[in-house]
Amino acid sequence: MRHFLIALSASLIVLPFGGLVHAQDKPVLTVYTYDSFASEWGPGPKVEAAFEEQCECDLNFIAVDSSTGILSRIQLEGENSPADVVLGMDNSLVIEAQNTGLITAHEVDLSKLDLPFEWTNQNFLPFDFGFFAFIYDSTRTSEPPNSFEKLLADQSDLKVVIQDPRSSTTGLGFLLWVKSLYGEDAAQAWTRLAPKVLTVTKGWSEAYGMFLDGEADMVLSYTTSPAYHMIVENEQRYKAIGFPEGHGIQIEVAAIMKNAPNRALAQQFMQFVASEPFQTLIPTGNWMYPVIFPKEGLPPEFRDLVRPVKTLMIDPQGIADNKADWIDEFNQALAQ
Amino acid sequence: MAGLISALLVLLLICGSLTGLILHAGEIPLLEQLGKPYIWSIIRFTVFQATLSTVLSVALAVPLSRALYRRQHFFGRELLIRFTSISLIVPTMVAILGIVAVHGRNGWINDLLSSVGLTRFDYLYGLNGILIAHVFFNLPLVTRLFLNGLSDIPSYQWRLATLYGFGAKQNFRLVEWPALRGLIPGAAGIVFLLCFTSFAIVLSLGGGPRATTLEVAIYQAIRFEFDLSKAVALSIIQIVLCLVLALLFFSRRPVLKLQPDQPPGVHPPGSERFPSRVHDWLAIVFASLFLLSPLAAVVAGTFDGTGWKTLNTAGFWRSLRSSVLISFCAGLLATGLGLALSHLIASLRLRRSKPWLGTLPELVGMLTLLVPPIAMGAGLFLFFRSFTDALSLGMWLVISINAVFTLAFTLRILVAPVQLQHKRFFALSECLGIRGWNRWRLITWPSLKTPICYALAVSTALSAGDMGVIALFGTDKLSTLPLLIYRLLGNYRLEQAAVVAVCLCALCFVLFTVIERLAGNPSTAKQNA
Repeated sequence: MRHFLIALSASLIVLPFGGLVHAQDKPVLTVYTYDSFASEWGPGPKVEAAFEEQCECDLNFIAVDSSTGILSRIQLEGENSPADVVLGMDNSLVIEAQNTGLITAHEVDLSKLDLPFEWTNQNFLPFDFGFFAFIYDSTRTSEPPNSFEKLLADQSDLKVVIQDPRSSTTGLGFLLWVKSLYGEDAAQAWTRLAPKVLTVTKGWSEAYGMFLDGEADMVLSYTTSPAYHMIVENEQRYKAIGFPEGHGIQIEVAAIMKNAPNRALAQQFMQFVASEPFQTLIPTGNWMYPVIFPKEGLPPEFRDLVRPVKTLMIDPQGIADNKADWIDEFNQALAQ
Repeated sequence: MAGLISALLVLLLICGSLTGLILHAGEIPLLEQLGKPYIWSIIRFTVFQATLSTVLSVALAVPLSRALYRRQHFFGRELLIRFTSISLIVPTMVAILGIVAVHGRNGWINDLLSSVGLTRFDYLYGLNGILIAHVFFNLPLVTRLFLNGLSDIPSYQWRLATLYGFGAKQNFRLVEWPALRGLIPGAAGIVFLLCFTSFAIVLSLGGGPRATTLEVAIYQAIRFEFDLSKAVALSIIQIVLCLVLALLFFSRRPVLKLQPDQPPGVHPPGSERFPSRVHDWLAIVFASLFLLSPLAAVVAGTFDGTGWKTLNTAGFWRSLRSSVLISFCAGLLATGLGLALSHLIASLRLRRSKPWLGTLPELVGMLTLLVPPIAMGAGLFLFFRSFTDALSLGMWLVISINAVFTLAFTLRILVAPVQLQHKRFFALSECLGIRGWNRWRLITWPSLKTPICYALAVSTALSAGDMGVIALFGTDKLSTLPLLIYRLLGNYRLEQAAVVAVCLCALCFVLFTVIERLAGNPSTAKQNA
């Protein structure tokens, strides 16, 4: 028994350090991203392979459980964060992220990008974009509400899943979409929507999975989501709904940390993000629109997707100033 | 001495972490937060769901414990009773997964409804889901306590009852109820605290802003909004509220015994009558279905075979490794701290003057149930961030916080036996001058090995299944099995989550059983207990 206890105490002291010792001959680039980007079914592994081919380095994705989690993680770690690059925050978070003082300019020439929107921020590099939309299963729901107003007014037993604006940029994007449509009346819109909300999930993946499993009739996602089902599963039943009021836009961004342990490598990675090899992985990897249009064009399935009649975007400074109040408004209405 | 140091250590951890938070938060907008209607709806909901969960768990435990007490021989009784004593160590994430598989829109119950032509309906997300999960965890716990209480009914009472010709109703009113009544405040108190601070369940089944507890709001404030001052304000609200409510419950000293096993009781008269049999079998069948179906559903979820590929991923093995490591270290730490504190409590209680001082260290142990682990984790992290690479400490932080949070359980297990041992041997060993290592070797270990191993088993298994503070530090690189399940659930990889859940359950069960048996032959262990 005594030997057992001694062995135990020895292991208690030694083991936790075990994980820290590993051979390092190549420089390591640490990139924080959200989990679905880094996961085996996301674009992460291919991005890693493509970049490692040209950089003589080890690209290490650290997957944080949600996109807004990336921001709070670097805030928690502060100046000592081991991250070189953060990839996966979006236009709704840029000012807040910039205000942490932890981000530095990326020095990528934006003019080589095909951006259908105006972008001047020198700290955050857009790497893809998409439009928020509700997705439904046309074999289960024949006539989904085809405008925002009809969705709010719907009297049937329709159930939707949305994401939490505190943890998910999709949820936050939806909040901003509603805010730009309803402004001061947003609280009322939330109250009208509340009975149709089955649940508010922490992240996009969970909501989408619940929808695919038949737990809900509609899910908040992107106009590009049906392309995944068409291309990967050869399945036509999932469709996005075009709202005549317009759609919110999401621009996903990457940035270099000011205290990046590996600044040169981080800059090289940013150039890579703004280049063909990375961008070609986006449409059928992250299921968003790339910021460099491929020469051979997007996959044909993308032509059948809903095109927003109007793009809605709130100025980033306004978001940073009011986000907390707007989230309170959302919470309050949905808590009823 | 060691006891005093332990008590100070625990206090230091708690206070240090809160200081860390407060220093970084700047000012604490307590009043501003209290002015928000949303915060009030969170507070209301927290109290409401905890109260309802407690009432349900306690109310349902009465018929179930009576049924188990009266039906001494049926197939599966051992299993059910075994389950009541280990339900607490069922990892929360596993239970949640199982509950979704049974009660979700595509769960077993809805499958059953639709197969008889009824429409599927959603009842899981929100308050219902939280209540189902809380009752799942706490009904067995309370049942166990009640069953122990019933088994303690002296046999002469039953002989008297037979003599007077009591029926089942009178038996209950005059014999069984008085035995249970005294247990209710203590049982309700602990259930209330556990539900009040419930985290993973509310996070997974609450369904967003609609059903949020303070603990989850604190997590969200830190993890997503990074609003530390709000987190501190909410933590203060939680601690104060909990303290007030706990004092209300615990002002009458509870007689809570978490025993490794219980002796068979005397068979009460009249329990073979028809209504009693119906009552008992209904209770047993429903409870078995309710308690065992989620676990069965998790196992059934692995049958289609698609999830097993997750065992081929490096992430799984990394998580398994850190789970074993974290749980073992945390278990040892919690047991060590618990033992030292128990000695302190025992020696203070046995002193002639001011024996009430012994309650203070016990309060320190209880305090750990009130402080939100997430707030503590973030506080310690921020505290260490200023001197060192706090990230590399992540594992240690998780270990120490897990240890502190299982301390309340190890204390409960250890205090009574340690006190007994002190009474028996303290004077003797002082007389003979047996101290230090010799005292441990000759007296403490031989006389306390059963409760010590039991405490170690409980705290290790609890830490292995815990999904608290790891949610704050976790990435795909620093992960435990519960966090892996949470992440797989978040990606809606239910088959893979089910496989990991089965592995985690197996791990907890093996850890628990092996460590519990370290004390030696279980049959002699029973006699010692």
